[in-house]
Amino acid sequence: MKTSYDLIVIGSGAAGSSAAFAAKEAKPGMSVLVIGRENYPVYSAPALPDYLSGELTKEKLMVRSFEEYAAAGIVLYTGDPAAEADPAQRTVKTAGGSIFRYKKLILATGSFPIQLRRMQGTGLPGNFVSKTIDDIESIMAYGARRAVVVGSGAIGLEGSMALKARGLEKVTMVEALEWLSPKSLDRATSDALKASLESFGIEVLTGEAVEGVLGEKKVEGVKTAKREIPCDLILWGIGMRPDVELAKSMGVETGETGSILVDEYMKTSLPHVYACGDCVESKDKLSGRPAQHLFWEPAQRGGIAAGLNCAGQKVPYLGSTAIFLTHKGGLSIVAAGKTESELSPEGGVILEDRGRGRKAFYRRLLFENGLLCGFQMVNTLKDVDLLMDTVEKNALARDGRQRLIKPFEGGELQKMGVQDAVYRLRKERRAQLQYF
Amino acid sequence: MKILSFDQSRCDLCGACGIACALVKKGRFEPEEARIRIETAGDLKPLRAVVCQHCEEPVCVTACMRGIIHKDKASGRVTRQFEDCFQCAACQVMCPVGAPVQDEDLKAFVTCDLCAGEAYMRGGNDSGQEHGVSSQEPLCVRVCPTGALRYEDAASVSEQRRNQYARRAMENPGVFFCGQGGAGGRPVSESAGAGKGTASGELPAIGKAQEKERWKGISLKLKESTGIKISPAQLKKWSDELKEMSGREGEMI
Repeated sequence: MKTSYDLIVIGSGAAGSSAAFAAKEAKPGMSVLVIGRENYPVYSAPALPDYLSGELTKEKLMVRSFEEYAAAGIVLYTGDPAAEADPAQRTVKTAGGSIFRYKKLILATGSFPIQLRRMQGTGLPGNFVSKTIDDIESIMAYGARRAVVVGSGAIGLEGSMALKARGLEKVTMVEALEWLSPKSLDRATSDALKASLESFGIEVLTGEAVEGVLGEKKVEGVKTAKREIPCDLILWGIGMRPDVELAKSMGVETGETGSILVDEYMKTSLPHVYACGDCVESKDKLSGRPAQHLFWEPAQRGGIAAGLNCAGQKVPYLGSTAIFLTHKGGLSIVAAGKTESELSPEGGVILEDRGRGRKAFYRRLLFENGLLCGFQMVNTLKDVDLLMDTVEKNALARDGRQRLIKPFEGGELQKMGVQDAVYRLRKERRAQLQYF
Repeated sequence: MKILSFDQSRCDLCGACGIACALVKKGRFEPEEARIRIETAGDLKPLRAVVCQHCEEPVCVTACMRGIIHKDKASGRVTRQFEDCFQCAACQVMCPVGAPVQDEDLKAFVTCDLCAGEAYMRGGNDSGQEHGVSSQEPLCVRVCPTGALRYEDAASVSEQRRNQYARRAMENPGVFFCGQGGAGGRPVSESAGAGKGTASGELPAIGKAQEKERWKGISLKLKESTGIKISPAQLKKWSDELKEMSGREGEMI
């Protein structure tokens, strides 16, 4: 096997693969090696719950096949993860001892699920996470009747739904904080979501931190502050951390969020070393603050940028917007932007919409000084593109965006003064823009 | 490449585009799942055509967690292998124009394929194969009775828009046109200058006899192009239904 490459990508997920393919396509003469931990080509990690529920086969998870790498002329080296890298010698050493030399290196090491190793019982059989195909397959192989899902983020929500759809007798979701996904959702949205989850037969407990895992030889239950819940399977969905171990060992600088610091061309602090995907610190487009956006779209977009920049182009990556999105098996939640607690007490206005007739849904729009700054919606995608666009551009809800506030027109809206605020801002803005 | 361009000053919201699209793609009147809808500005004023713009850098391609959306370099079209869609909604949520629709029959999110392929086909002919540039006019363009929808070269659409905009700005000194394209990445069809000061204030009124002729023509074109036979009276009825729905709920036509 060839041991010297123009570009080595560490990580074969969405970001790493996008980077490799983008670089190879831009500069076909480049030799590209992708080093992957798992024995698969890039697959759709966000669809793992569908594999768990039985809705998708493993083949359907694959985004690219081994043949596609070969056809593109990209060498995919799997099952032997990169263990060390020497930025001075420009070499990468795998766990199996193979050494590869690079001209340019892209770190796309991704993220890993948080596990509470110090809590008693978390090492027993029956403790699971949901990040890789292997994780899912070990859940499938482990016969269980009752499950406790810890955490109410995307993993918790989708994992609960999938386990229920898989036919488990009882699925209980436990969230330590006061309501579901409080970083993205307000209490009212959480209530609507909770009702929806319960309609699928999932028990939802909030404000109950898990204090311990019960069982001697295997998981037999979960102990919370309020009760003991018997179960034979625990799915931990309590968060993800960027995998920066290799980067740190090389001396790559990390940012305030703990992820790899990159410039807008995805370059790290070391020469010839780039990074992309879950392991990098992204800029939140709405707040302008450094953030960890562990999503598919920014991973691919950042990956493409990293790949193209390694191929000699200059393609900036300008950050991403955090979106909470779950749209699976009859449950749909979309949220972006500010939550209620981030609104200022003077300028903040919230509009709620429960939908009429046929299908009940819940939406809330959050305004700050007449500008839409956030939205949350359960079981509807009504106007989601326009809401997203309006939040991202910090635009006024008017001139084609009036549709957004139309369902709220009448008493409530007037009472809250949103129309006045929108109108006032419109006048101000027009005064500013009269140069035309 | 050629794209669908929309001139809202000509549109009178008859809804023929969406009706025809649903008829050919779904085989029935199903306006919510038509791949082209006309968005109104909260009342019965046409604002923009909600339809895939085949963007230069499509966000749906990177958003797709299944890797089934591609930008075809040769034809410029954005294509989907919708058979493998697992309906995660990421493309719809991130699309700047909201073009993708969830097709309940296909169990997939789909977008306008510009009627590419050999013939106007039921379901969708867009399976990610490369059809090259479509030689035929998309059906919605063919049935559009006012010429509001056109199938034109993207560069020339953009030039027309710039000229239109400059002219309007000169004729209306001191008026700010919002929604103009370019700046925020909202594609061409919104860029005709939505909002205040545009020519889209009043719908062009047409007489009863004229309207009858219109639906007769549309019915004929539908039959010629696709073999689908729908009476002019039925088409007119659907159109009225659409308008009523839009007026009531602020929905799209």
